[in-house]
Amino acid sequence: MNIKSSKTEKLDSDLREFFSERRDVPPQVKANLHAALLDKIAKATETAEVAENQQNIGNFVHHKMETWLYLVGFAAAVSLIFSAVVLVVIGAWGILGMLPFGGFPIVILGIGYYWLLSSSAASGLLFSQKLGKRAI
Amino acid sequence: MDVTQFENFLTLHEKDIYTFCLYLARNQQAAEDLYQETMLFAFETRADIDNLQNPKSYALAIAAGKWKNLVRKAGRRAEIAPEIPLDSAFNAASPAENLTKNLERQELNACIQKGLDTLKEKVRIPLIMHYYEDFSVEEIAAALDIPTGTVKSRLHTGRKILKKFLEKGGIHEYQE
Repeated sequence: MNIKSSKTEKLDSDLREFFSERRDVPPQVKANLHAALLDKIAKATETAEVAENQQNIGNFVHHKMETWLYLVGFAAAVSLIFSAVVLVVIGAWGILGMLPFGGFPIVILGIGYYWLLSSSAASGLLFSQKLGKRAI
Repeated sequence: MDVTQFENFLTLHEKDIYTFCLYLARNQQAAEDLYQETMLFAFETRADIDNLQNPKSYALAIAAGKWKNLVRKAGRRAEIAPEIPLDSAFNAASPAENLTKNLERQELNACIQKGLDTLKEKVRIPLIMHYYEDFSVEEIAAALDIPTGTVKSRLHTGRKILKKFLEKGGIHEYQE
């Protein structure tokens, strides 16, 4: 038992001596390592700053685009309501017989115009919503 | 921790951290890469270092983790870089010192080096932390995020294997 514990103690001290003899790296290696690391840190900081700036610019553009798209969508919705009112007025006018051919050509043209306007406005709204969500 | 504070931390501990990487990698080039990766990661997460009691142990834990990942990815240690005798990577002793140095001691050191190389990473890393960094069992457990019992058992296994290696290597003091 004593032999075993003395061997363990010997190994303990031998290992400590082994590692204490191998502590110092040549100064040149240390200097090179230090310089290389500082260089890498500077590059990493620079890259992080550029990425942050790009992110900021991207956010700004998205925000602007989103605002404009919502404005276009709003304008389309207003014009849709306005043209619906106009169509109803023209239709009523035609039915009352105050327009040539009973006002039918104008009513049909009006329905076509309304359909075109409503579909483009709807797709505009959908598009702006999609982009808005992506920007967020 | 700002960049200046990090540079101070670097100046204070870079030697120890690099040497630890050297013991892990056993190849100068691989050790330099490991050191750079470790310190870059430490730099990126420097905000966490402020709340730590022992920043050096944090850096050593990063190095150990990165090294284990590298070995796992490479499959075998030899796939990463060829092992070299570590003595060439340290400040060489002067010729006079070499002459006076006991031949037996040189033989013993060579045998310890070979024995250390045969250990598995999970045994070798706590052993290096304990004998090179003078970390206590609790400090190693905290750094490697393993229970203290496991650290004790790995240190014991490491010593046992090394002892057997020295016995077989014909080192006089370790013979029965």
